[in-house]
Amino acid sequence: MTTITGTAETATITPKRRSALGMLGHQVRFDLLIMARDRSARFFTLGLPVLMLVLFVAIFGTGYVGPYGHSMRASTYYVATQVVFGVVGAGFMTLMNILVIRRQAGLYKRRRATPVPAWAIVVSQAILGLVGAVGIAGLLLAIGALAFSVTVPPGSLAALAVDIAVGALSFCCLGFAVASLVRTETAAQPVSMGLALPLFFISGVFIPWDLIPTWMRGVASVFPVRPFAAAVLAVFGGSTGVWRPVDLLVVGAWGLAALALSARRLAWSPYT
Amino acid sequence: MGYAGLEVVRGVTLAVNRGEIFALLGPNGAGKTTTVEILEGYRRRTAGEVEVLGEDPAQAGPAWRGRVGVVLQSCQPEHELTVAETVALYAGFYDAPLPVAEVLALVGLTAEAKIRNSRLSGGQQRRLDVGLALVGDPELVFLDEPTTGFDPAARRAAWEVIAGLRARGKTIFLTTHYLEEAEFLADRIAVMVAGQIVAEGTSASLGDRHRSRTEIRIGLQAPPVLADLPPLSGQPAWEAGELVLAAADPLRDLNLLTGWLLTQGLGVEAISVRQPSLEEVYLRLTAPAETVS
Repeated sequence: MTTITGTAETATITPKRRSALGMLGHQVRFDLLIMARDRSARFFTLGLPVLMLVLFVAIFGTGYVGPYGHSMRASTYYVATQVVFGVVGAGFMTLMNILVIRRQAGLYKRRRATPVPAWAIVVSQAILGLVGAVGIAGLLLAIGALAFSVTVPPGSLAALAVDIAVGALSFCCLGFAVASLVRTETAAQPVSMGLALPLFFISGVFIPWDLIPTWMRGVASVFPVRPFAAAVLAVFGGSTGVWRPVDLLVVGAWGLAALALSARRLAWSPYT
Repeated sequence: MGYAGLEVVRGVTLAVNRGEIFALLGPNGAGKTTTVEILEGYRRRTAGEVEVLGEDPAQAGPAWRGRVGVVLQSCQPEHELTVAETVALYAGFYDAPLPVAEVLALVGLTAEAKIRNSRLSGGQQRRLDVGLALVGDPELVFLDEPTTGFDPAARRAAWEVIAGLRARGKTIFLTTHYLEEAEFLADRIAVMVAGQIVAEGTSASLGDRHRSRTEIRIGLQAPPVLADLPPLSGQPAWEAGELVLAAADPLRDLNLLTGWLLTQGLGVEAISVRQPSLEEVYLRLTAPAETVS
Protein backbone atom coordinates (compact mmCIF):
# COMPACT_ATOMS: atom_id res chain seq x y z
CA MET A 1 0.00 0.00 0.00
CA THR A 2 1.35 3.37 -0.97
CA THR A 3 1.53 5.84 1.86
CA ILE A 4 2.17 9.55 1.57
CA THR A 5 3.76 11.19 4.55
CA GLY A 6 2.52 14.69 5.29
CA THR A 7 5.02 17.50 5.74
CA ALA A 8 3.47 19.50 8.58
CA GLU A 9 2.96 16.53 10.83
CA THR A 10 3.64 12.86 10.44
CA ALA A 11 0.14 12.03 9.31
CA THR A 12 0.00 9.26 6.77
CA ILE A 13 -2.61 9.45 4.10
CA THR A 14 -3.63 6.17 2.57
CA PRO A 15 -5.34 6.41 -0.79
CA LYS A 16 -9.09 6.22 -0.50
CA ARG A 17 -10.42 2.84 -1.52
CA ARG A 18 -13.02 3.08 -4.23
CA SER A 19 -16.27 1.34 -3.40
CA ALA A 20 -17.82 -0.88 -6.04
CA LEU A 21 -21.01 1.17 -5.89
CA GLY A 22 -19.02 4.36 -6.36
CA MET A 23 -17.36 2.87 -9.43
CA LEU A 24 -20.77 1.83 -10.75
CA GLY A 25 -22.09 5.39 -10.38
CA HIS A 26 -18.93 6.76 -11.97
CA GLN A 27 -19.37 4.51 -15.00
CA VAL A 28 -23.07 5.25 -15.35
CA ARG A 29 -22.38 9.00 -15.37
CA PHE A 30 -19.89 8.69 -18.21
CA ASP A 31 -21.90 6.09 -20.11
CA LEU A 32 -25.01 8.28 -19.99
CA LEU A 33 -22.90 11.17 -21.27
CA ILE A 34 -21.74 8.94 -24.13
CA MET A 35 -25.31 7.89 -24.94
CA ALA A 36 -26.53 11.50 -24.77
CA ARG A 37 -23.86 12.51 -27.32
CA ASP A 38 -24.53 9.53 -29.59
CA ARG A 39 -26.86 10.84 -32.31
CA SER A 40 -27.89 7.37 -33.42
CA ALA A 41 -28.80 6.22 -29.89
CA ARG A 42 -30.65 9.50 -29.29
CA PHE A 43 -32.71 9.08 -32.44
CA PHE A 44 -33.56 5.42 -31.98
CA THR A 45 -34.24 5.74 -28.23
CA LEU A 46 -36.14 9.01 -28.12
CA GLY A 47 -36.77 10.48 -31.57
CA LEU A 48 -38.22 7.50 -33.39
CA PRO A 49 -40.90 6.48 -30.83
CA VAL A 50 -42.07 10.10 -30.59
CA LEU A 51 -42.18 10.34 -34.38
CA MET A 52 -44.13 7.07 -34.59
CA LEU A 53 -46.64 8.23 -31.95
CA VAL A 54 -47.24 11.52 -33.78
CA LEU A 55 -47.63 9.72 -37.12
CA PHE A 56 -50.02 7.05 -35.82
CA VAL A 57 -52.21 9.59 -34.03
CA ALA A 58 -52.19 11.77 -37.15
CA ILE A 59 -53.30 8.80 -39.26
CA PHE A 60 -55.80 7.13 -36.90
CA GLY A 61 -56.46 10.00 -34.47
CA THR A 62 -60.20 10.48 -34.88
CA GLY A 63 -61.04 6.79 -35.10
CA TYR A 64 -61.52 4.01 -32.61
CA VAL A 65 -59.85 0.64 -32.36
CA GLY A 66 -61.23 -2.51 -30.82
CA PRO A 67 -62.60 -4.93 -29.96
CA TYR A 68 -61.88 -4.87 -26.21
CA GLY A 69 -65.44 -5.33 -25.00
CA HIS A 70 -65.56 -1.64 -25.62
CA SER A 71 -63.61 0.30 -28.24
CA MET A 72 -60.61 2.47 -27.44
CA ARG A 73 -59.67 5.82 -28.92
CA ALA A 74 -56.87 5.40 -31.46
CA SER A 75 -54.78 8.08 -29.72
CA THR A 76 -55.01 6.12 -26.46
CA TYR A 77 -54.17 2.87 -28.22
CA TYR A 78 -51.08 4.34 -29.83
CA VAL A 79 -49.80 6.06 -26.70
CA ALA A 80 -49.95 2.65 -25.02
CA THR A 81 -48.40 0.70 -27.90
CA GLN A 82 -45.67 3.29 -28.59
CA VAL A 83 -44.69 3.08 -24.92
CA VAL A 84 -44.16 -0.62 -25.69
CA PHE A 85 -42.22 0.30 -28.85
CA GLY A 86 -40.08 2.75 -26.86
CA VAL A 87 -39.32 0.35 -24.01
CA VAL A 88 -38.44 -2.52 -26.36
CA GLY A 89 -36.43 -0.12 -28.54
CA ALA A 90 -34.33 1.26 -25.68
CA GLY A 91 -34.13 -1.85 -23.52
CA PHE A 92 -33.56 -4.39 -26.27
CA MET A 93 -32.62 -2.81 -29.62
CA THR A 94 -30.44 0.16 -28.61
CA LEU A 95 -28.85 -1.65 -25.67
CA MET A 96 -28.06 -4.69 -27.82
CA ASN A 97 -26.37 -2.46 -30.41
CA ILE A 98 -24.36 -0.66 -27.73
CA LEU A 99 -23.26 -3.96 -26.18
CA VAL A 100 -22.06 -5.44 -29.47
CA ILE A 101 -20.34 -2.26 -30.69
CA ARG A 102 -18.52 -1.72 -27.39
CA ARG A 103 -17.53 -5.35 -27.04
CA GLN A 104 -16.15 -5.45 -30.59
CA ALA A 105 -14.31 -2.15 -29.98
CA GLY A 106 -12.57 -3.83 -27.01
CA LEU A 107 -14.04 -1.42 -24.45
CA TYR A 108 -15.29 -4.11 -22.06
CA LYS A 109 -12.01 -5.96 -22.30
CA ARG A 110 -10.20 -2.77 -21.36
CA ARG A 111 -12.53 -2.04 -18.45
CA ARG A 112 -11.91 -5.61 -17.22
CA ALA A 113 -8.20 -4.75 -17.04
CA THR A 114 -8.99 -2.18 -14.34
CA PRO A 115 -10.02 -2.90 -10.73
CA VAL A 116 -13.70 -2.26 -11.51
CA PRO A 117 -15.70 -5.41 -10.60
CA ALA A 118 -17.27 -7.39 -13.46
CA TRP A 119 -20.78 -7.05 -12.07
CA ALA A 120 -20.44 -3.26 -11.97
CA ILE A 121 -19.63 -3.22 -15.70
CA VAL A 122 -22.66 -5.40 -16.49
CA VAL A 123 -25.03 -3.41 -14.27
CA SER A 124 -23.80 -0.08 -15.63
CA GLN A 125 -24.68 -1.21 -19.15
CA ALA A 126 -28.07 -2.57 -18.06
CA ILE A 127 -28.78 0.79 -16.43
CA LEU A 128 -28.27 2.44 -19.83
CA GLY A 129 -31.10 0.32 -21.24
CA LEU A 130 -33.31 0.88 -18.20
CA VAL A 131 -32.77 4.66 -18.16
CA GLY A 132 -33.54 4.82 -21.88
CA ALA A 133 -36.66 2.66 -21.48
CA VAL A 134 -38.06 4.55 -18.50
CA GLY A 135 -37.10 7.89 -20.08
CA ILE A 136 -38.89 7.25 -23.37
CA ALA A 137 -41.94 5.79 -21.58
CA GLY A 138 -42.19 8.94 -19.46
CA LEU A 139 -41.71 11.20 -22.50
CA LEU A 140 -44.42 9.40 -24.51
CA LEU A 141 -46.86 9.47 -21.58
CA ALA A 142 -46.21 13.20 -21.13
CA ILE A 143 -46.77 13.88 -24.84
CA GLY A 144 -49.90 11.71 -24.74
CA ALA A 145 -51.29 13.67 -21.80
CA LEU A 146 -50.36 17.15 -23.06
CA ALA A 147 -50.96 16.79 -26.80
CA PHE A 148 -53.61 14.07 -27.09
CA SER A 149 -55.41 14.20 -23.71
CA VAL A 150 -54.52 10.56 -23.06
CA THR A 151 -54.19 10.14 -19.31
CA VAL A 152 -53.64 7.19 -17.03
CA PRO A 153 -56.22 6.86 -14.24
CA PRO A 154 -54.42 7.47 -10.91
CA GLY A 155 -55.53 4.03 -9.68
CA SER A 156 -53.73 2.39 -12.64
CA LEU A 157 -50.37 4.13 -12.20
CA ALA A 158 -48.95 1.38 -9.98
CA ALA A 159 -49.88 -1.26 -12.56
CA LEU A 160 -48.27 0.81 -15.35
CA ALA A 161 -45.10 1.26 -13.29
CA VAL A 162 -44.87 -2.49 -12.68
CA ASP A 163 -45.54 -3.24 -16.37
CA ILE A 164 -42.78 -0.87 -17.48
CA ALA A 165 -40.35 -2.16 -14.85
CA VAL A 166 -40.92 -5.83 -15.79
CA GLY A 167 -40.80 -4.99 -19.50
CA ALA A 168 -37.67 -2.84 -19.29
CA LEU A 169 -35.77 -5.40 -17.16
CA SER A 170 -36.82 -8.35 -19.32
CA PHE A 171 -36.01 -6.67 -22.63
CA CYS A 172 -32.62 -5.54 -21.24
CA CYS A 173 -31.89 -9.19 -20.44
CA LEU A 174 -32.93 -10.09 -23.98
CA GLY A 175 -30.57 -7.36 -25.22
CA PHE A 176 -27.67 -8.99 -23.33
CA ALA A 177 -28.63 -12.47 -24.56
CA VAL A 178 -28.90 -11.56 -28.25
CA ALA A 179 -25.74 -9.42 -28.04
CA SER A 180 -23.88 -12.53 -26.90
CA LEU A 181 -25.02 -14.32 -30.07
CA VAL A 182 -24.15 -11.51 -32.53
CA ARG A 183 -20.58 -11.73 -33.73
CA THR A 184 -19.96 -8.43 -35.54
CA GLU A 185 -21.01 -4.82 -35.03
CA THR A 186 -22.36 -4.62 -38.60
CA ALA A 187 -24.76 -7.47 -37.82
CA ALA A 188 -26.13 -5.84 -34.65
CA GLN A 189 -28.55 -3.40 -36.29
CA PRO A 190 -30.03 -5.87 -38.83
CA VAL A 191 -30.44 -8.58 -36.17
CA SER A 192 -32.21 -6.25 -33.71
CA MET A 193 -34.46 -4.95 -36.50
CA GLY A 194 -35.09 -8.42 -37.91
CA LEU A 195 -36.17 -9.75 -34.51
CA ALA A 196 -38.15 -6.79 -33.23
CA LEU A 197 -39.93 -5.37 -36.31
CA PRO A 198 -41.96 -8.51 -37.18
CA LEU A 199 -42.92 -8.87 -33.52
CA PHE A 200 -44.07 -5.22 -33.41
CA PHE A 201 -46.26 -5.85 -36.46
CA ILE A 202 -47.86 -9.11 -35.33
CA SER A 203 -48.26 -7.89 -31.72
CA GLY A 204 -50.48 -4.92 -32.56
CA VAL A 205 -47.86 -2.30 -31.79
CA PHE A 206 -48.13 -0.65 -35.22
CA ILE A 207 -51.36 -2.20 -36.57
CA PRO A 208 -54.44 -2.51 -34.33
CA TRP A 209 -54.60 -5.96 -32.73
CA ASP A 210 -58.11 -6.71 -34.06
CA LEU A 211 -56.78 -6.47 -37.63
CA ILE A 212 -54.16 -9.17 -37.01
CA PRO A 213 -55.22 -12.66 -38.27
CA THR A 214 -56.09 -15.06 -35.50
CA TRP A 215 -53.31 -17.57 -36.20
CA MET A 216 -50.79 -14.70 -36.16
CA ARG A 217 -52.11 -13.56 -32.79
CA GLY A 218 -51.42 -17.04 -31.51
CA VAL A 219 -47.82 -16.82 -32.71
CA ALA A 220 -47.43 -13.33 -31.23
CA SER A 221 -48.68 -14.43 -27.81
CA VAL A 222 -45.77 -16.85 -27.46
CA PHE A 223 -43.19 -14.07 -27.83
CA PRO A 224 -42.61 -11.36 -25.22
CA VAL A 225 -43.76 -8.25 -27.16
CA ARG A 226 -47.48 -9.12 -27.29
CA PRO A 227 -47.90 -10.00 -23.59
CA PHE A 228 -46.05 -6.79 -22.70
CA ALA A 229 -48.32 -4.77 -25.02
CA ALA A 230 -51.43 -6.47 -23.58
CA ALA A 231 -50.33 -5.59 -20.05
CA VAL A 232 -49.73 -1.92 -20.95
CA LEU A 233 -52.98 -1.68 -22.93
CA ALA A 234 -54.89 -3.00 -19.92
CA VAL A 235 -53.76 0.03 -17.93
CA PHE A 236 -55.40 2.27 -20.57
CA GLY A 237 -58.69 0.39 -20.46
CA GLY A 238 -57.84 -2.31 -22.96
CA SER A 239 -59.30 -5.08 -20.77
CA THR A 240 -61.57 -5.49 -17.79
CA GLY A 241 -58.79 -5.27 -15.17
CA VAL A 242 -55.61 -3.18 -15.11
CA TRP A 243 -53.40 -6.05 -13.87
CA ARG A 244 -52.35 -8.76 -16.29
CA PRO A 245 -50.23 -11.14 -14.14
CA VAL A 246 -50.12 -13.97 -16.70
CA ASP A 247 -48.85 -11.64 -19.43
CA LEU A 248 -46.24 -10.23 -17.05
CA LEU A 249 -45.18 -13.77 -16.16
CA VAL A 250 -44.61 -14.58 -19.85
CA VAL A 251 -42.54 -11.39 -20.29
CA GLY A 252 -40.61 -12.13 -17.08
CA ALA A 253 -39.99 -15.75 -18.11
CA TRP A 254 -38.43 -14.56 -21.37
CA GLY A 255 -36.32 -12.14 -19.34
CA LEU A 256 -35.13 -14.85 -16.93
CA ALA A 257 -34.32 -17.27 -19.74
CA ALA A 258 -32.36 -14.50 -21.47
CA LEU A 259 -30.56 -13.71 -18.21
CA ALA A 260 -29.53 -17.35 -17.82
CA LEU A 261 -28.24 -17.48 -21.39
CA SER A 262 -26.31 -14.22 -21.08
CA ALA A 263 -24.75 -15.31 -17.80
CA ARG A 264 -23.44 -18.45 -19.52
CA ARG A 265 -22.19 -16.63 -22.60
CA LEU A 266 -20.96 -13.38 -21.06
CA ALA A 267 -17.91 -12.32 -23.06
CA TRP A 268 -15.57 -9.39 -22.44
CA SER A 269 -13.31 -9.75 -25.44
CA PRO A 270 -14.21 -8.96 -29.05
CA TYR A 271 -15.41 -11.96 -31.04
CA THR A 272 -12.97 -12.84 -33.78
CA MET B 1 13.43 -4.99 -4.61
CA GLY B 2 12.16 -8.18 -6.05
CA TYR B 3 10.96 -9.86 -9.13
CA ALA B 4 7.94 -9.35 -11.25
CA GLY B 5 8.49 -13.03 -11.88
CA LEU B 6 6.79 -14.53 -14.90
CA GLU B 7 6.72 -18.16 -15.87
CA VAL B 8 5.31 -18.96 -19.26
CA VAL B 9 3.82 -22.21 -20.47
CA ARG B 10 5.44 -24.77 -22.79
CA GLY B 11 8.15 -25.50 -20.28
CA VAL B 12 9.88 -22.19 -20.84
CA THR B 13 10.69 -20.00 -17.87
CA LEU B 14 10.75 -16.27 -18.35
CA ALA B 15 11.72 -14.03 -15.47
CA VAL B 16 11.13 -10.34 -15.98
CA ASN B 17 13.06 -8.11 -13.63
CA ARG B 18 11.47 -5.15 -11.95
CA GLY B 19 12.17 -1.93 -13.80
CA GLU B 20 13.25 -3.45 -17.10
CA ILE B 21 11.71 -3.47 -20.53
CA PHE B 22 11.24 -7.05 -21.68
CA ALA B 23 10.29 -7.71 -25.29
CA LEU B 24 8.61 -10.85 -26.57
CA LEU B 25 9.57 -10.82 -30.23
CA GLY B 26 8.21 -13.08 -32.91
CA PRO B 27 6.43 -13.30 -36.24
CA ASN B 28 2.65 -12.92 -36.53
CA GLY B 29 0.87 -15.95 -35.16
CA ALA B 30 3.78 -17.07 -32.98
CA GLY B 31 1.65 -17.03 -29.81
CA LYS B 32 2.76 -13.68 -28.39
CA THR B 33 -0.75 -12.38 -27.73
CA THR B 34 -1.85 -15.70 -26.23
CA THR B 35 1.13 -15.56 -23.90
CA VAL B 36 0.57 -11.96 -22.87
CA GLU B 37 -3.17 -12.55 -22.37
CA ILE B 38 -2.39 -15.41 -19.98
CA LEU B 39 -0.10 -13.04 -18.09
CA GLU B 40 -2.78 -10.32 -18.08
CA GLY B 41 -5.37 -12.76 -16.70
CA TYR B 42 -7.62 -12.73 -19.79
CA ARG B 43 -6.93 -16.31 -20.80
CA ARG B 44 -6.75 -19.42 -18.72
CA ARG B 45 -3.73 -21.61 -19.31
CA THR B 46 -4.10 -25.33 -19.72
CA ALA B 47 -0.94 -26.22 -17.83
CA GLY B 48 2.03 -24.77 -16.02
CA GLU B 49 2.55 -22.09 -13.42
CA VAL B 50 2.27 -18.35 -13.93
CA GLU B 51 3.04 -15.73 -11.35
CA VAL B 52 2.81 -12.00 -11.99
CA LEU B 53 3.52 -9.57 -9.15
CA GLY B 54 3.34 -12.50 -6.76
CA GLU B 55 -0.10 -13.69 -7.85
CA ASP B 56 -1.64 -16.05 -10.37
CA PRO B 57 -3.28 -13.73 -12.94
CA ALA B 58 -6.12 -16.21 -13.49
CA GLN B 59 -7.10 -15.86 -9.82
CA ALA B 60 -6.07 -12.26 -9.20
CA GLY B 61 -8.53 -9.69 -7.93
CA PRO B 62 -9.07 -5.94 -8.16
CA ALA B 63 -6.04 -5.06 -6.02
CA TRP B 64 -3.74 -6.89 -8.45
CA ARG B 65 -5.41 -5.27 -11.46
CA GLY B 66 -4.75 -1.90 -9.85
CA ARG B 67 -1.01 -2.63 -10.03
CA VAL B 68 -1.04 -3.74 -13.67
CA GLY B 69 -1.59 -1.57 -16.75
CA VAL B 70 -2.70 -3.18 -19.99
CA VAL B 71 -2.43 -1.80 -23.53
CA LEU B 72 -4.47 -4.14 -25.70
CA GLN B 73 -3.52 -4.95 -29.26
CA SER B 74 -6.69 -3.43 -30.67
CA CYS B 75 -9.01 -1.26 -28.67
CA GLN B 76 -10.83 1.88 -29.74
CA PRO B 77 -11.50 4.60 -27.19
CA GLU B 78 -15.05 5.75 -26.40
CA HIS B 79 -15.74 7.87 -29.48
CA GLU B 80 -18.15 10.32 -27.88
CA LEU B 81 -15.81 11.33 -25.03
CA THR B 82 -12.98 13.83 -25.15
CA VAL B 83 -9.44 12.70 -24.44
CA ALA B 84 -9.48 14.22 -20.94
CA GLU B 85 -12.91 12.76 -20.15
CA THR B 86 -11.72 9.31 -21.17
CA VAL B 87 -8.72 9.53 -18.85
CA ALA B 88 -11.01 10.80 -16.06
CA LEU B 89 -13.37 7.83 -16.66
CA TYR B 90 -10.56 5.30 -16.19
CA ALA B 91 -8.99 7.27 -13.34
CA GLY B 92 -12.22 6.64 -11.42
CA PHE B 93 -11.47 2.91 -11.27
CA TYR B 94 -8.26 3.24 -9.23
CA ASP B 95 -7.60 4.02 -5.59
CA ALA B 96 -4.73 6.41 -6.23
CA PRO B 97 -4.79 7.49 -9.89
CA LEU B 98 -2.39 9.93 -11.47
CA PRO B 99 -3.87 13.37 -12.14
CA VAL B 100 -5.48 13.54 -15.60
CA ALA B 101 -3.19 16.41 -16.69
CA GLU B 102 -0.12 14.39 -15.72
CA VAL B 103 -1.25 11.40 -17.78
CA LEU B 104 -1.93 13.61 -20.80
CA ALA B 105 1.52 15.20 -20.49
CA LEU B 106 3.12 11.77 -20.14
CA VAL B 107 1.73 10.57 -23.47
CA GLY B 108 1.93 13.93 -25.23
CA LEU B 109 -1.80 14.59 -25.57
CA THR B 110 -2.09 17.80 -23.54
CA ALA B 111 -3.03 19.85 -26.61
CA GLU B 112 -5.69 17.27 -27.53
CA ALA B 113 -7.36 17.19 -24.08
CA LYS B 114 -10.65 18.65 -25.28
CA ILE B 115 -10.80 16.82 -28.61
CA ARG B 116 -13.27 13.97 -29.10
CA ASN B 117 -11.56 10.60 -29.37
CA SER B 118 -13.18 9.98 -32.75
CA ARG B 119 -11.05 12.84 -34.18
CA LEU B 120 -7.71 11.44 -33.03
CA SER B 121 -5.23 9.95 -35.49
CA GLY B 122 -4.27 6.30 -35.13
CA GLY B 123 -1.04 7.23 -33.38
CA GLN B 124 -2.82 9.58 -30.99
CA GLN B 125 -5.40 6.88 -30.16
CA ARG B 126 -2.59 4.49 -29.36
CA ARG B 127 -0.95 7.06 -27.10
CA LEU B 128 -4.32 7.45 -25.36
CA ASP B 129 -4.38 3.65 -24.94
CA VAL B 130 -1.02 3.90 -23.21
CA GLY B 131 -2.29 6.79 -21.08
CA LEU B 132 -5.30 4.74 -19.96
CA ALA B 133 -2.98 1.89 -18.97
CA LEU B 134 -0.90 4.32 -16.90
CA VAL B 135 -3.64 6.28 -15.16
CA GLY B 136 -3.68 3.86 -12.20
CA ASP B 137 0.09 4.37 -11.76
CA PRO B 138 0.81 0.64 -12.30
CA GLU B 139 4.03 -1.14 -11.42
CA LEU B 140 3.88 -3.37 -14.48
CA VAL B 141 2.65 -2.42 -17.95
CA PHE B 142 1.80 -4.89 -20.73
CA LEU B 143 2.03 -3.48 -24.25
CA ASP B 144 0.74 -5.82 -26.96
CA GLU B 145 2.14 -4.72 -30.33
CA PRO B 146 1.92 -1.04 -29.41
CA THR B 147 3.05 0.40 -32.77
CA THR B 148 1.57 -1.97 -35.35
CA GLY B 149 0.38 0.06 -38.33
CA PHE B 150 2.24 3.25 -37.35
CA ASP B 151 4.18 5.44 -39.74
CA PRO B 152 7.86 5.83 -38.81
CA ALA B 153 7.43 9.21 -37.07
CA ALA B 154 4.51 7.98 -34.94
CA ARG B 155 6.48 4.84 -34.08
CA ARG B 156 9.45 6.91 -32.94
CA ALA B 157 7.14 9.10 -30.81
CA ALA B 158 5.59 6.01 -29.20
CA TRP B 159 9.04 4.63 -28.44
CA GLU B 160 9.94 7.84 -26.62
CA VAL B 161 6.80 7.44 -24.47
CA ILE B 162 7.63 3.82 -23.66
CA ALA B 163 11.27 4.59 -22.92
CA GLY B 164 9.99 7.34 -20.60
CA LEU B 165 8.07 4.71 -18.60
CA ARG B 166 11.29 2.90 -17.78
CA ALA B 167 12.65 6.19 -16.48
CA ARG B 168 9.68 6.25 -14.08
CA GLY B 169 10.63 2.81 -12.77
CA LYS B 170 7.89 0.85 -14.50
CA THR B 171 8.37 -2.74 -15.56
CA ILE B 172 7.37 -3.14 -19.20
CA PHE B 173 6.37 -6.35 -20.95
CA LEU B 174 6.23 -5.65 -24.65
CA THR B 175 5.24 -7.86 -27.55
CA THR B 176 6.26 -6.88 -31.05
CA HIS B 177 7.02 -8.29 -34.45
CA TYR B 178 9.27 -5.32 -35.21
CA LEU B 179 12.86 -6.22 -34.63
CA GLU B 180 14.06 -2.62 -34.43
CA GLU B 181 11.41 -1.93 -31.78
CA ALA B 182 12.74 -4.67 -29.53
CA GLU B 183 16.32 -3.58 -30.22
CA PHE B 184 15.59 0.10 -29.48
CA LEU B 185 13.51 -0.41 -26.34
CA ALA B 186 14.21 -3.71 -24.67
CA ASP B 187 16.74 -4.53 -21.99
CA ARG B 188 16.11 -8.18 -22.75
CA ILE B 189 14.45 -9.97 -25.64
CA ALA B 190 12.88 -13.41 -25.95
CA VAL B 191 12.12 -14.72 -29.43
CA MET B 192 8.96 -16.78 -29.76
CA VAL B 193 8.32 -19.00 -32.76
CA ALA B 194 5.35 -21.37 -33.06
CA GLY B 195 4.57 -21.10 -29.36
CA GLN B 196 8.08 -21.79 -28.14
CA ILE B 197 10.81 -19.52 -26.86
CA VAL B 198 13.72 -20.19 -29.22
CA ALA B 199 16.17 -17.64 -27.82
CA GLU B 200 16.48 -15.21 -24.97
CA GLY B 201 19.01 -12.53 -24.13
CA THR B 202 20.02 -8.94 -24.63
CA SER B 203 20.00 -7.57 -28.16
CA ALA B 204 23.80 -8.04 -28.16
CA SER B 205 23.77 -11.64 -26.94
CA LEU B 206 20.59 -12.94 -28.58
CA GLY B 207 21.12 -16.18 -30.49
CA ASP B 208 24.80 -16.20 -29.43
CA ARG B 209 25.29 -13.14 -31.58
CA HIS B 210 28.21 -11.96 -29.42
CA ARG B 211 29.95 -15.33 -29.82
CA SER B 212 29.35 -15.53 -33.53
CA ARG B 213 32.34 -15.26 -35.82
CA THR B 214 33.10 -11.83 -37.17
CA GLU B 215 32.78 -11.60 -40.90
CA ILE B 216 35.65 -9.96 -42.80
CA ARG B 217 35.02 -9.03 -46.43
CA ILE B 218 37.71 -7.58 -48.71
CA GLY B 219 36.76 -6.50 -52.22
CA LEU B 220 39.59 -7.21 -54.70
CA GLN B 221 40.07 -6.43 -58.39
CA ALA B 222 41.33 -9.97 -59.02
CA PRO B 223 40.97 -13.22 -57.13
CA PRO B 224 43.94 -14.12 -54.90
CA VAL B 225 45.45 -17.60 -54.79
CA LEU B 226 43.79 -18.85 -51.60
CA ALA B 227 46.52 -21.41 -50.94
CA ASP B 228 49.07 -18.59 -50.71
CA LEU B 229 47.22 -16.83 -47.86
CA PRO B 230 48.81 -16.82 -44.39
CA PRO B 231 47.24 -19.23 -41.83
CA LEU B 232 43.98 -17.70 -40.55
CA SER B 233 41.44 -18.53 -37.79
CA GLY B 234 38.77 -19.38 -40.36
CA GLN B 235 38.43 -20.79 -43.84
CA PRO B 236 38.70 -18.01 -46.49
CA ALA B 237 36.59 -18.08 -49.64
CA TRP B 238 36.21 -16.10 -52.86
CA GLU B 239 32.64 -14.86 -53.43
CA ALA B 240 31.62 -12.48 -56.20
CA GLY B 241 34.70 -10.30 -56.19
CA GLU B 242 35.22 -10.48 -52.44
CA LEU B 243 37.51 -12.42 -50.18
CA VAL B 244 35.24 -13.60 -47.36
CA LEU B 245 36.37 -14.91 -43.99
CA ALA B 246 34.36 -15.87 -40.87
CA ALA B 247 37.03 -15.07 -38.32
CA ALA B 248 37.30 -16.46 -34.80
CA ASP B 249 40.17 -14.04 -34.14
CA PRO B 250 39.28 -11.05 -36.29
CA LEU B 251 41.97 -8.61 -35.16
CA ARG B 252 44.84 -10.98 -35.83
CA ASP B 253 43.33 -12.20 -39.13
CA LEU B 254 42.79 -8.65 -40.33
CA ASN B 255 46.39 -7.77 -39.50
CA LEU B 256 47.71 -10.83 -41.34
CA LEU B 257 45.44 -10.28 -44.35
CA THR B 258 46.19 -6.58 -44.82
CA GLY B 259 49.91 -7.21 -44.41
CA TRP B 260 49.77 -9.98 -46.97
CA LEU B 261 47.70 -7.91 -49.43
CA LEU B 262 50.29 -5.09 -49.26
CA THR B 263 53.05 -7.51 -50.27
CA GLN B 264 50.91 -8.91 -53.14
CA GLY B 265 50.09 -5.56 -54.67
CA LEU B 266 46.44 -6.61 -55.26
CA GLY B 267 44.07 -3.63 -55.71
CA VAL B 268 41.83 -3.40 -52.61
CA GLU B 269 38.42 -1.83 -53.33
CA ALA B 270 36.68 -2.14 -49.94
CA ILE B 271 37.14 -3.69 -46.52
CA SER B 272 34.30 -4.43 -44.10
CA VAL B 273 34.39 -6.06 -40.67
CA ARG B 274 31.05 -6.80 -39.02
CA GLN B 275 29.15 -8.81 -36.44
CA PRO B 276 26.02 -10.56 -37.75
CA SER B 277 23.14 -8.05 -37.36
CA LEU B 278 20.28 -8.70 -34.98
CA GLU B 279 18.13 -9.02 -38.08
CA GLU B 280 20.27 -11.87 -39.40
CA VAL B 281 20.07 -13.58 -36.00
CA TYR B 282 16.30 -13.07 -35.91
CA LEU B 283 15.75 -14.36 -39.43
CA ARG B 284 17.86 -17.41 -38.63
CA LEU B 285 15.89 -18.02 -35.41
CA THR B 286 12.49 -17.63 -37.05
CA ALA B 287 13.29 -19.45 -40.31
CA PRO B 288 10.79 -22.28 -40.89
CA ALA B 289 13.58 -24.90 -41.07
CA GLU B 290 14.68 -23.89 -37.60
CA THR B 291 11.24 -24.42 -36.11
CA VAL B 292 11.17 -28.03 -37.27
CA SER B 293 14.38 -28.98 -35.53
